[in-house]
Amino acid sequence: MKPTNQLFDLIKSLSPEEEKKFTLLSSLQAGDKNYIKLFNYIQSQDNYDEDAVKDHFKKEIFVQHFASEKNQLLHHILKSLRFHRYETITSAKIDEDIKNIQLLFNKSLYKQSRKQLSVIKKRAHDFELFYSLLEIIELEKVLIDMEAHFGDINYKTLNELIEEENSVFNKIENFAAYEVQLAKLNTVSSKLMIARSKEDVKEITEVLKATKQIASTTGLLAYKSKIIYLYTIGLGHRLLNEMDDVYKAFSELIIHMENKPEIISEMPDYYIISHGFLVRYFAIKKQYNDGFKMIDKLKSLFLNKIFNATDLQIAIFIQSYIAEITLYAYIGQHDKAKNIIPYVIKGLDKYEAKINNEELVKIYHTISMVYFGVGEYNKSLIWLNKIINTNYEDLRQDTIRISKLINLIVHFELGNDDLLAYIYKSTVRFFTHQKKQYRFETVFLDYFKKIALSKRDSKQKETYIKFKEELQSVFKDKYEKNALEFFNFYAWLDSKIHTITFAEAIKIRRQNN
Amino acid sequence: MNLISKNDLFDLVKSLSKSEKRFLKLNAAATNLPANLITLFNDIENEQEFTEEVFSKIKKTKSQSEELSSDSTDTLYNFILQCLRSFHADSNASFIIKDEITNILNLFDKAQYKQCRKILNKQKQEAYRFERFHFILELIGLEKLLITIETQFNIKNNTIENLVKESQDVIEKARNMGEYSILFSTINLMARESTKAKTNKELQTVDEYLESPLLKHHHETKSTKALIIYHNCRLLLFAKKQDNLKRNKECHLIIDIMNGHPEMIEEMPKRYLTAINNLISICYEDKKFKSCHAYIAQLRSKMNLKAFNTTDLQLKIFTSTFNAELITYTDSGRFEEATKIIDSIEKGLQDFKGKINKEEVLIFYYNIAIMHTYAGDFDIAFKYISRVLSEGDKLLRQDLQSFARIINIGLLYELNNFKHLAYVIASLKIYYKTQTSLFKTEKLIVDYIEKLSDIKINGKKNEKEIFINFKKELDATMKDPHEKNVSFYFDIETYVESKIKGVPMNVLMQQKYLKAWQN
Repeated sequence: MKPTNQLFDLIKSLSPEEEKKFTLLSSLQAGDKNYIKLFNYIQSQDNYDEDAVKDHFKKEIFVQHFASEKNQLLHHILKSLRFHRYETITSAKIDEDIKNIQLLFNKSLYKQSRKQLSVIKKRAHDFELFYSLLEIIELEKVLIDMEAHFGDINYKTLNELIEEENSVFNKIENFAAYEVQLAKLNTVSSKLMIARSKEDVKEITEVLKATKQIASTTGLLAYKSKIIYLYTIGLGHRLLNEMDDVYKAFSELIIHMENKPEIISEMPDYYIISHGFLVRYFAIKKQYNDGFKMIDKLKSLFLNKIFNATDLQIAIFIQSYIAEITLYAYIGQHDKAKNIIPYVIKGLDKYEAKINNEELVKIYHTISMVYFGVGEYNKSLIWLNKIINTNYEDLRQDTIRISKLINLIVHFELGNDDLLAYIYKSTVRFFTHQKKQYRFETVFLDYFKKIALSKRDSKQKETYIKFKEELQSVFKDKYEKNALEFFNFYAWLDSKIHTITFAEAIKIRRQNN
Repeated sequence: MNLISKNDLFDLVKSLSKSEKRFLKLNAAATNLPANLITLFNDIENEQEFTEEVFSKIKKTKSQSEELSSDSTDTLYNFILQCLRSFHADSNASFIIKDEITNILNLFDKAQYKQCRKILNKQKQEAYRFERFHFILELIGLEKLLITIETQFNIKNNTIENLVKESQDVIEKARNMGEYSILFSTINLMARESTKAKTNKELQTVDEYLESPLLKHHHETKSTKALIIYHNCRLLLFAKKQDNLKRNKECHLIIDIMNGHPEMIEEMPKRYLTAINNLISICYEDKKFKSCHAYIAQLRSKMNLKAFNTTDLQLKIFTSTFNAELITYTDSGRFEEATKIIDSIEKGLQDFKGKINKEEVLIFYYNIAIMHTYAGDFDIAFKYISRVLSEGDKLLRQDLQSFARIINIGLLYELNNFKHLAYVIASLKIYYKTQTSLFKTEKLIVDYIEKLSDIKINGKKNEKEIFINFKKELDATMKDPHEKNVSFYFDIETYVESKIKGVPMNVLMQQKYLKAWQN
């Protein structure tokens, strides 16, 4: 991204309140301001066009030092955003108040400095703002030295202060220890949605064991540590597909956060994503109403000012809309799922560049599956291609591999027989080059060849049945079975065997299981 | 309970510089600050002393309730602080880093991750340069968030494991600096009780500190800041030990380190000033008045530098330089010059009223009292020594307070106030029973003043004889090197000599310290 685009993106990302703040602060400066003119013009553009901007201002002198004018504008926007943040986010307000301690100290108003310090310190404790606390303690040390000159000599405070500082360091280290474990799980989850081999399970189990070990040896020294601990445990079990433990961890996490709302504003993303995990639990447990209630709760967060930031709005967007589509698709109501897609596309138009690849792959796959469910294979193919044709390196290999197989099915459904032979060969080549081979993938490719590439005859139904039986045998292995998380192969085969729609097959399977 | 009192608001308004006031008024106009608050600000600005009337005036005109009035105080107070934050935003390194951290958070919220990374890398470098450990930790915390996102975008700048290792490193440095800071605070508190060791036990404590693992050598320091504090601790200890040679070395080491790392001057300006101030003290203690005045000039030259442009540092420069000037002029009997300095001190004490710390006020009053004692203006000296005794805190500068009691009885003797003197001596003797840290000379002075007052009360005329005996005993006592330090508080030897010879103190002192102005 070019720096110029960054300025454009920043301007476009401003909320009405932020814009109001920018305008207000700009008005504090007297006279004609070039950066305001520049702001207004860039804001009127749909796409950033620097040449057009320069052309528009060609008669203005400032265009000769255009880069510095843009910097000036960036500086003022960032400044107004800072002011807006101080007024809307408690932790930012606390950080700003810390400056007051320093200012009053510099003015030798030590008693006032002490007064402010006591109040701000308590608030920083409540919000577990470790770094702010360290800054306050640092200032307090200087204040104590100064108070000693005023005759207020207190050795007790000094010892308490060193204890307090050490306690904050311990909390930071304790939190970081859990962060390391979570990072390990995040690395696994960026590749996989669910463990697909014993090696995966071993890796995840080791992280869970290490996390619990930290908890039993060093404890959970802060509320934030408790949250990250529960999140790690929940995510680990999610990867192991142990849904009861997932529910236990994430529901406990949500209760903890709701009991201490200060922590929600400190770790809002953990709060949002935990809800997303619970939706999936409710889907699997067939507690669909609870799942939809959870989605409604998630959507209500859009309007909560704690979650005003763009990255959080994106997280809510992904967790709520994608969870809703998945839930409908899960119960075979693909029509209802399809109705949500326009909202998702609208969201993608707004946020696509800012959504990470891992989430994008998930979104593309979800949309593709909905279109598949309603039989709109062409549309399904468009979204599948977004996954297959992009190099995501290590990211979401599970989704990418399955998408390669679904791609074959979609072309088969579209009757692209000529193309199919070529795609099949390329798909086989792709899987041959993979480090790890799954039995399910081999079976699928074998049977798919029999179904799609041999002549379609009356015995095809028998092949579908054999295919299904073979899959049932393969899926006895719980890790192989996890492939069903991405695409209901049974339902697809059922639709072929019983000549019903894919959505109907899903519904029947849900009713029977 | 309301956090901000009217007094707080008054003091804050009075502390503002001209340029801060100008900035504040511009902001007030631009943000449409209510007119009654602007009036309140102007009224406070025009008052010399705090009065409730300034605040009640606004209440009467606006018929406000008490609650509204306290709200006004809060609003104006917070508005002033907000303006000060903006005014000093670009002049304070920690404010700049803090603002940039807020920028990172804002850009992160706006999902502008690349821009975040750019600012983060730069600010981390700055935070390392200024050794702002808590900021580095905060930036590492942000970087962890950023890395999580970057990984999802397939961007690899760093790993969580590396960052955790880095933060452990930083915590280790911060902990190390914390240890030194606390050690410094402890030693500082000890020094605030008494700057010079008077007994072997005190000396032993000082040596124990100097031999402690953290202070024995600098290998235990893990950052430049810790190294500076290490030298500052040793500086205080050598001062307490009266080892001016090593104290001098520590001062120069601090100044050299900080000159080599100018950002440290910005970070720890007070320690830089302390080092120069100690060089000044060393010079007047070693009777090198010429060098002392050169250091005074050096310290005053820092007044206009950005790093020292805060009230507390300006105050520090004011107190250090004027005290040193007063002492050198007093000790060398140049009372005319000393009197001029006292005028400036009185003006400064008035200007900085409420901001100047008790210790500095005590030192000023004490030194002024000594100057007037030496000059023979006992009435004025008595006025100032009474202030030391009434302003004093039990723990603060016990050494100075102890000597103030002795000067007090000396002055009562000189003022022939024997009735009061008898009572003061009696109470001083009771006080001595509770003291473990005293110069032998202190007791000797009390004994002799008691003797002297007895003969005066009884109308006897052998005062000179008593002073001769006093001198003999004094000479014997002064053979103990610790006792020589008494002269830092009061030149008892010259006083006794002037009494024996019948020569004014200033004449004797001019002769005694003639050479001091050559070095």
